[in-house]
Amino acid sequence: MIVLRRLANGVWDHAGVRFTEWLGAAPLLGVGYVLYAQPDALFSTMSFAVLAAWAEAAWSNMLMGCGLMRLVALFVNGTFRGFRHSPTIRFVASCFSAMFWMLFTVGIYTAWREVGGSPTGIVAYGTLIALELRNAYVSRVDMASARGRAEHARADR
Amino acid sequence: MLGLTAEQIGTVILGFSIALISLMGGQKGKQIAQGKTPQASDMVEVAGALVNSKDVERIVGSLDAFTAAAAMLKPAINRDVEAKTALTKALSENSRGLNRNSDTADDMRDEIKDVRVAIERLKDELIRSGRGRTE
Repeated sequence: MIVLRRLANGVWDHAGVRFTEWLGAAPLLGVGYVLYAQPDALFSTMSFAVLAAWAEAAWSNMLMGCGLMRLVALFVNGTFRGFRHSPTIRFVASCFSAMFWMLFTVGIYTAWREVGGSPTGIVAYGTLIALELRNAYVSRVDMASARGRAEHARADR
Repeated sequence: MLGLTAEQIGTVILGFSIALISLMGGQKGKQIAQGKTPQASDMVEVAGALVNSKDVERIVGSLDAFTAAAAMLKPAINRDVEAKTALTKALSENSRGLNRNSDTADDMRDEIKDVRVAIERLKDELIRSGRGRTE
């Protein structure tokens, strides 16, 4: 119970600063789950034709894995100070997420140019790339500041 | 373009973006760790506004200088007040003198009036006694 309360307080204290990271986990888990629950979703529209050709079944696993990794890092980060690798996990998750959304954007763009489909996904997933780049910056700042503080503490001792 | 596919170009652009972000974030994080940028803990609430504690120190320093200047001005202000009090006293004396002068002038006017009446009466007496000139 105490651990749960500590976890809730840790999450709540950093919720404002890491709001975009929490927000970024939603499309990762959501799209990942949709592709997992409905494996033929990529074939239902022309926009996803290129994505389906690249990696037919792997998308849901990759997206949900990345989303879960980020969620765990966000829950742990700020609550358990002994574990110093949360910002690194958040940074890696942000980079992977940006990569996934870039591939989605390029896939939809290529499909729109070559086989047809709607180009609106370029704007939607492109916005998610910008969001993830912002998340990568914030987590990189946390990484460097945590490392700097640890070095200062070591030097003081 | 350059024989690269769209996803390869995207990957290269994203890689450069992440590298740039990593450099910028690393610099910023180091600055935070060294305490060069204001932390949330350095912020102080003054009259409902969040102010950096260094700015608060500067404000307090300015207020101290202002207090010292006011202390230096105090003797001059006191001298000014004393001069004004003396001037008020002098004006009051002057006013009283003027009042006395007015009373004396009133008395003199009454006496002149009495003298004029007495002269008129003397003139009448002289006329009646036939000693006065009538032409």
